[in-house]
Amino acid sequence: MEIQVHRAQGAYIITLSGRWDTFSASAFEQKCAELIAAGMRATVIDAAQVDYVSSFGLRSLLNLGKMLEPLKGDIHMCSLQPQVSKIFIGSGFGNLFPVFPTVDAALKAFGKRE
Amino acid sequence: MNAQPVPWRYRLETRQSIPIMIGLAGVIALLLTLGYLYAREQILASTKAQVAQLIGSIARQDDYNRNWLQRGMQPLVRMAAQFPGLTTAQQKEADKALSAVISDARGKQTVDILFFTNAGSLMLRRYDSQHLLYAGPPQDGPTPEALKAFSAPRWYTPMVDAKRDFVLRYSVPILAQSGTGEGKTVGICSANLAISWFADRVRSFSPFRNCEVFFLTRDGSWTLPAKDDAPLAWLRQRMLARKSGESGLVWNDIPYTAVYTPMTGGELLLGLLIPRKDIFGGLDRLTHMLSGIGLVVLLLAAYSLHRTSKIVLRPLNALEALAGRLARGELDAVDGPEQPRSACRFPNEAQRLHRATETLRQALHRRVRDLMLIGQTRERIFGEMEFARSMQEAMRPKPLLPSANVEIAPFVHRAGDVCGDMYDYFFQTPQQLCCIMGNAAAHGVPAALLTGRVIPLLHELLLTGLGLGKALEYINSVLGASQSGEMHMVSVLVGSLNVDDGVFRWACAGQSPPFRCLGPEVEQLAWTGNMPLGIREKEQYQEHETRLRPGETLLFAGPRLLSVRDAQGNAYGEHALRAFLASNDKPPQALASALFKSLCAHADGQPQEDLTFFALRWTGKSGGGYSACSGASAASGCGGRL
Repeated sequence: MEIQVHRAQGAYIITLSGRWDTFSASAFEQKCAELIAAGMRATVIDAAQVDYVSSFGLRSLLNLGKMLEPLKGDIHMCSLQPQVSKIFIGSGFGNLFPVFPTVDAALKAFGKRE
Repeated sequence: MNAQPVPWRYRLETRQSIPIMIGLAGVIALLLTLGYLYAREQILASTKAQVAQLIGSIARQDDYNRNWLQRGMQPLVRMAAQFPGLTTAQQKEADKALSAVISDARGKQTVDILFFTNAGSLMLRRYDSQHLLYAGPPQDGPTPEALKAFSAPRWYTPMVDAKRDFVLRYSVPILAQSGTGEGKTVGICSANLAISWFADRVRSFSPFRNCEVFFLTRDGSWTLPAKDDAPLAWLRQRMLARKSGESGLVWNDIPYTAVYTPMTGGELLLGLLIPRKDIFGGLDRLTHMLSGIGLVVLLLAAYSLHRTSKIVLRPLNALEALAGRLARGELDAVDGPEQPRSACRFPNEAQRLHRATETLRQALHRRVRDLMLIGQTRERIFGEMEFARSMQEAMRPKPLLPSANVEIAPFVHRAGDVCGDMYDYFFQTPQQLCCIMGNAAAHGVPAALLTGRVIPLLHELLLTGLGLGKALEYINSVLGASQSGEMHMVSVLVGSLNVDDGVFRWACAGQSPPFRCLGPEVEQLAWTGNMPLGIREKEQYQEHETRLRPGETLLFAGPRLLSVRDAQGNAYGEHALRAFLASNDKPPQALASALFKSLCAHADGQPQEDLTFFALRWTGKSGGGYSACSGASAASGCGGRL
């Protein structure tokens, strides 16, 4: 899985591509830990290029949420592919991390909250 | 360092020393040669300058000789002018008078008087200081016409006579008054002065006491002794060709250096044969001395190389032995007492190498120890994994006894020793068949521990008659309460089939719901939207219900089955699974085998990840209508909550 990060409107946009599985989950967690140390709080995860998410991928997302919770950070998911969205929503993760159709919508949601 | 003899292979070998020695010898030889050539040029230049100074002395001597000859010529000419008119008796008297006038004070002098007789013929009379030498017609000499045309005194080019003496010749016309009062030449008086001492005189002026001075005329005659000059013929040719220069030669078994230069307007060449030892003797002695010094330097250098190789390479020898022992695995080997690191503030190369070797030894020691620990840990982990695998195998449900209304076929493909997938099925009551399908988000032993904790607990809870959702809530609370920072996430689907009427109820904790299929009809049961166990403590898990038709099959599988990839990275996908199920209405065992073959065909080999699924077919008789529940219908009534 490739991980790319850029900033927009005060948020960190983490763009993932590939399989979010056992092998990529640890790299994702390590990268997120570095970003949090660098000040990441509002986080958008663009999963438009993620075609599979395993329980390890979901677990790494939960770990990121646990790291951001005491820092008042938030995670917005966006652009999920149908098969990923099915797993994500069907397994209840949509209740923990709001899902948006686009990156812009996810960013705007941060603005509305503020 | 231990004091031990240096093996020969550690000394500079001959092939290594020879280039060094040759280089050193070359440098010494080059310096000696350059110095010698420079000094030789300087000495030769000095010698040439000294020879050039001789030219001045020679010129002065020559002037003395010529003036003396000119002065002596005057009485001779007066006396010679009387000869044509003298009688024979008078001529004899005149001969005596002439001989008396001729002097040998500056050399052997002869006088030739050539005159016309009264008969008009030419007569030559030759005298020396003693007497008349010759009287008669001339054998050679000027013609009568040339004699008549001779009107002024004349010096001839110096010559070398048969005795190899240097000869000056001076001629004066004998004039008589003609009838018209004009003087006409009636004869020639010539004086020849053979100066045998001239070369000796020049040598006396020279700083080279043992040199041989000679003159060479343009016709190739020289004043060197005739009996000894044969070996010097080539020198004469060279002098005539070059006019000036120097040449080395051996003459009478003595090495000489010949230095020659032109004089008197180039009519003569002055040559000096100087014994070589007089010129280069000092230089040769210096060269010999320096050559000896160079040889001594070479010997000292060779000895120094030998000693240095022993001194420099001795510690390397010890280090080589140490490295050999380390290579043989003697990691406790040291090459001497441990030196404190701060013992030497500015260590040399050998000391630095020693430190590096010691550091290497200690690092190897630590590394080997770590590797041993790693090996032991690896052995322990392998043992634990093997035990976990056997435990997982032991936890697999035993095959059900043949039942009239249900068939079930599990399938497990394990990529490693222990997998995180789990399943179970058992009869809760004679009519209720419980099915459990789950997945722990962990690998290896942690996965085995999680599944080994969740499955038996769920099994026991369901046997007590607890509802499906409540059982999941209880286990979720247990996992949440036991967490110690590490997340224990487990996805589970638990279902219960009434084998009599085909009613199937299920509760889901983040796990994919099963596909139900009958003939070409394929449908996935509704996702419940409940989270996996171990994430949120207060999560509530609802039960859903549907009724199976006779012969309908449920396929329990996780999302990993859909993600099996081909070589191009394309996932197997839900569409392919639905198509497979629609076209494979087979008994559970055959369906599971065919599905795995389909997955292997897609992946072009066995999948690289764990795969666990099982198929369940209800073969009872229909007790009610078909109820295929979607997510919405499940929530609204098709799958009612308990």
